[in-house]
Amino acid sequence: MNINLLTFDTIDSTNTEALKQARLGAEEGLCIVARQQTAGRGRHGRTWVSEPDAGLYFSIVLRPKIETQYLPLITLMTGVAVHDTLGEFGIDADIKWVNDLHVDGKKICGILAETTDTPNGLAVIVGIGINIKSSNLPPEIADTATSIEEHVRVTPLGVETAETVSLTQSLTKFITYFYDILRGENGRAEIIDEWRKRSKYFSGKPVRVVLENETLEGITDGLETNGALRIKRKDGSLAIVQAGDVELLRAT
Amino acid sequence: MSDPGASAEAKDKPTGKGKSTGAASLNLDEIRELADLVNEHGFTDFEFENENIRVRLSKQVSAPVYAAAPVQPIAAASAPVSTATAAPDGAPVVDEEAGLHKITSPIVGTFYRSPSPDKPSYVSEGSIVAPETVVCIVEAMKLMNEIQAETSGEIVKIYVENGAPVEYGQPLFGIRK
Repeated sequence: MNINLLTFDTIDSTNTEALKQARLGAEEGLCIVARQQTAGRGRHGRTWVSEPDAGLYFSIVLRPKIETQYLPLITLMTGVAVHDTLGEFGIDADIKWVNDLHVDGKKICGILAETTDTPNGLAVIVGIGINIKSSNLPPEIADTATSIEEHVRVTPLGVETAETVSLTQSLTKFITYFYDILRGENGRAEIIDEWRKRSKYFSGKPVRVVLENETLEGITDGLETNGALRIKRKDGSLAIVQAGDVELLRAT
Repeated sequence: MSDPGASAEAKDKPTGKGKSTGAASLNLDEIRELADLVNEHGFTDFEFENENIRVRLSKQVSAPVYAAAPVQPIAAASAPVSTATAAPDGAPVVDEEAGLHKITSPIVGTFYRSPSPDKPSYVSEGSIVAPETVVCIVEAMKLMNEIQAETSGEIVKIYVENGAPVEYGQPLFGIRK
């Protein structure tokens, strides 16, 4: 995959632009990077706060030849890639199912993927928002969000900062690496395995899952082969969660 | 399910010729009456037999068959029921579903009719769609899958409620071409 960067000072949404480019025939590997988003999007209509230079706002066009039911593994793969990107900046993050990255229980990165049919086949747009600075985070998310600047490694030479450019370089390197693995012979299982190694949530943790129409509680019990989260309820029954927000409960 | 009480009674009175002549040839109204009675008590099968006549009433209950899912109360509740009322007297059943092209879910996930909660639905009943018209989103693990109509026609049925879980292959929309 050839990485091709298209950078903007300001844009409505990097995902919206990437969707547009994909429909116009953009090849896999096209990345849209912006210093600011005016209409950054989160999951199902939520806003992604995107103040100027306060974060990395990044979307990539992929054209995977993967069966539809396994497409969600792309979002797990992206979580793994972001985890290792943050690792290069000295940050030890935890992947919260399905692909939020947390540091000390606070969200540092969110990922939103969208598919679209284009004249040259299915495209998957993967959007990644990484908080770099906390100063611009609005008060309503200040308690639940964190940023790179709060966790940078302090070296004898001073504080290492993550600039958009170095962050982008690192991110595209890891996405390329794990995307190759996913497309390999045993790729799906390998990605699940890589994900497990980077998530404290995947097994034996009491969680609450907020679904569109209900809430369920139980103990995490690993992942299905498509990345869905298995949760054992108190009555012993198993729930397979395909979508929803997972909160870690305190062990009692 | 047959009614054991009814068939036992029929067998207990094999010699009641005076009465059974009346039942020798049930007319249409009587069958209808019987059917209503059977329907009222929720039986799916009923059989009556004496030396002259044997009447068997059977109701096809077309329960929607979806792949087993741990939770999908809404999906089940909004399943089509129009075909479940079969006419017991043998009148032809008008199957509204016949000839409808169905858009099914390509993936297990959550069904959304609009791009976000504050936006209007992509389509509604009566919408005219083209093959590339986006009709809904099915979210699976933060992957928003845009679903296209893939055929031209009119949306006449929407089988699933917004926000409900859907299974692989589950019908989402019915389109009349």
